[in-house]
Parts: sequence; structure tokens; C-alpha cells
Amino acid sequence: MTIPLNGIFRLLVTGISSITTRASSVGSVGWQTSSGVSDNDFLDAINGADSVRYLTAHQAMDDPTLFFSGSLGFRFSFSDDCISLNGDSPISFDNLPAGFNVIGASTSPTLSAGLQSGGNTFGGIAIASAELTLGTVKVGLFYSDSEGPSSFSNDVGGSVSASVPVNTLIDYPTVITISDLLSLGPQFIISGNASLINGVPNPGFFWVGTLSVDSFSVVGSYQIIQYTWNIDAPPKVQNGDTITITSDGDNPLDLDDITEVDVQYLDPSTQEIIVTPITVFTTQGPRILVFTLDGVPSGVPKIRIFVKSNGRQFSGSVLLGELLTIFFTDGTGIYKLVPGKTNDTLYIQDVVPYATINVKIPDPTLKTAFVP
Amino acid sequence: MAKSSSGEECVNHYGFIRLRVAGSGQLRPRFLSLDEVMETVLVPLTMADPVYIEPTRLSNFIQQRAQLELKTTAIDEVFHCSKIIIFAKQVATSYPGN
Repeated sequence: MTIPLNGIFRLLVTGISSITTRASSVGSVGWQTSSGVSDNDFLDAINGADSVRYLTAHQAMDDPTLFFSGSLGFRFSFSDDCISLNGDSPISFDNLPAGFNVIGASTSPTLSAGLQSGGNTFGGIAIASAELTLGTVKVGLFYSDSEGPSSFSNDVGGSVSASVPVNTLIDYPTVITISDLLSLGPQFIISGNASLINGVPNPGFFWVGTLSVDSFSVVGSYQIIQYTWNIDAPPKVQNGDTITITSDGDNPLDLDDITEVDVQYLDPSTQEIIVTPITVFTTQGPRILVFTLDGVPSGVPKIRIFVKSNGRQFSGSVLLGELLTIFFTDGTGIYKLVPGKTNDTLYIQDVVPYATINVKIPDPTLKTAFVP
Repeated sequence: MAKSSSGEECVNHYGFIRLRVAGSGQLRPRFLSLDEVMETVLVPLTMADPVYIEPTRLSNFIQQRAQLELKTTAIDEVFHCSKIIIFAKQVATSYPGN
């Protein structure tokens, strides 16, 4: 799949980490899902066009001075295949193309809050509001109506709701990064407020307050950035060697964003790809990153160096380069002579059961005498 | 054939070699001068096992004495050489030679 250097991405919610509620300030019923909504129903709704409704019920609101308020909080999670690029099938965070960079993003959840009445004459004001927070950072506060709260009065057995799409620009990358979203998930809080005004106390009156969310997703634009990397290491490396990464050019990569260096190699005994992460660096600055090679076992002829960042400048795992290794000193030679054998066999002592690796005999050579 | 250098000094042109060799991989022939000061690398031979020809490689190496080297450089390459013919011709003699 060819991914354009510029395009649109959409972050899809793939799970609900938690739901927190603050019950109505009056009444005792509390918040509950309508019609037995399951988590999957909820996910389908916020990734699609359907709506999910949470509601609370309250009765005997017979005091015109009473004020109702309540809130719901959803913490979404993003995992597995949660990022769609240009409308394609979602892919995972690790499979994003190298150099993936978020230019900007926004979210436009549709929220609503409402009151539904039964019984006798009443009057009231309903206000819907929502907050979008990430960790302790509040990135948006929205009201149902920019011109003022929706209101209704003197109605019997009717209903009213305030619903309006809200749109906010999520401040990338200084406040939120993709990896922040993945690790924390946004805390999405809907709160509703309603009060009676000019009401007539009447024990027969009751109302039901509802809060609902129609959709939630993060949509933004991205670009693929290419950086220049340099890696400085001995011609053949071994554990304990110092490896230096530098960046330069017109648009150099900020190496302060590197969070992990992965050393990848092929296990000589099992032929499986092993990845050893290194997260402690000797030196880390905007233009230089120095670390000590560690964790590479004997018998590995070459290693590949990958780097991961905090997601601010790029995402995914980026191949930095390939380094040749030397055989470490615990390799021993052939223990018996085998006719016709065309290579040497080294035994690797720190692998149990003992593994072997074949290496070439140093340049078998025939030389004649001087002629004539 | 070139005259032997025993008892007299002459300069020979080593024109080509012919081998009876079997094996696998790339056999890399090289002519070396005295003390390996001068050399000429011949085109490698791709070996097959068995073979029915004796391959030939050209060279253009002019020295008083020459030594032929055959070697392989990769893992699992092997060769068995049973005959080497070096074609050489005298091109100069030194005073007081013939």
C-alpha cells in the first residue's frame, strides 16, 4: 500500500476504559444506559452515526427552587487497529509509516442533554455542556447553544433538548500527541444542568433528564517527514561499544524525542527475530544520542538498530541502520575432524542446550612453487 | 616452454593456465612475483562437480619467477585440484646469459 506524503487520518475508538458518573443532584435513580446498551453498542455508535443515550430519572420535583445537575464521563481507549489513513482500513500505531507526523487534529462529538416531562405544568431550563480532557489537561469546554441555554416552560407532557455539534482543535503536538491518546485515552465528560423556573409546586410532576453522545472521533491531517540520520559505530561492534546517533540537515530530527532504541537480531539457535530494547542513554540531546550496546548474545553476525520516539515527530519503529558484530570470545572450535567438512563450527556456550554456528574456513589456499 | 632459471637468469611471460579442478564456488587464481611484490588477478573460475573440461584462464604476467595461487573466499566453497599447467615463454635474458 502506497501512503501519500500528506493526507487525512482518523482515530477510531476501539474500547471503553471506564465510565464514571456523577449522579443527579436530586433524586435517587442515577444514571443508567438506555435499553441495555452494551459496550459494543456504544463503540458502534461513537464510531458511526448512531447515538447512545444515558438517562436519569427523577420524580416529585415539587420545589421550583430545585436544581438538577449530573455528569457522565467516558474514558476511551485506542488499541490494535485504530488509525485509518485516507479512509483505508485501520492500522495499528506500530504500523504507521516511518515519519508519520500529525499536523493538526480536531474532534467533533455531538452531544445533547434534555428534559422530558410528565404530569403537570412545569417550567425549566436545560443546559448541555461537555468537556474533553486528557489526563489533567482540559482541551475543550462546550455548551449546547452558543447563544444561551435552551429553555422551555409551561409545557405539559412534552420534551425539549439542546443538541449541537461541537468542534475543537486539539492542540498538537504541544498538548497532546498520538502516543498520549493511545496510552491515556481522552476523558470525555458530558454534563447536564437543568432547573425549574416559574414552576408551580406540584407533587404530581416528574421529569426524566437525558444525556447522549452521538459520535466521537479524532480527525486530522498528517504528513510524512523524512529526516537524515547518521550512525557512528566501530566497523564491528560488540556489547559495551558506544554507538552515537546524530541528526543534521535543514529540518533535523530532535533526538530528545527518542524514547527507545531497539536492537534486533536473528537468534542463531532458534532463527527467531529477537528485539532487545535500550531505554537508558549515555547522552541525549537535540542533535545527539549516545548509548551503549548491550544484550546481544554470542554468534550473532549482524544487528539492526531501530528507534522509537514519543510520537511528536514521527511514530512507529524506524530502521536506523545495520551493524556488523564480532563473535564474542566464548566461541570454541571443532572438536573432531570430519572428512569433507567445508566449514568450521563454533559452539556457543551461553546458550543451553549448546548451539552451534558454522563459519567459513579462512580462505583455503593452494600455492605452487616458483616456476619455471 | 620457458627455460628453467637454474643456472641462468631470464624473464618469462606467463600467458595462461589450465587446470584440472573440481569443486563448488568461485576459484580465484592469482599470479605472484618473488616476495609477492607484484601480482595479477585472473578471472575466477566457477567450479562444478563433476566436470569434463579443463578450463583455461588467460594472464599477462611478466616476471623472472612466478607463483600461482588458487583460493576460495566464501563459506562452504571447496576445490580439488589434480593438475595445473602454466604456459610461459621466455621473453628476455640477462647478460651474460644466452
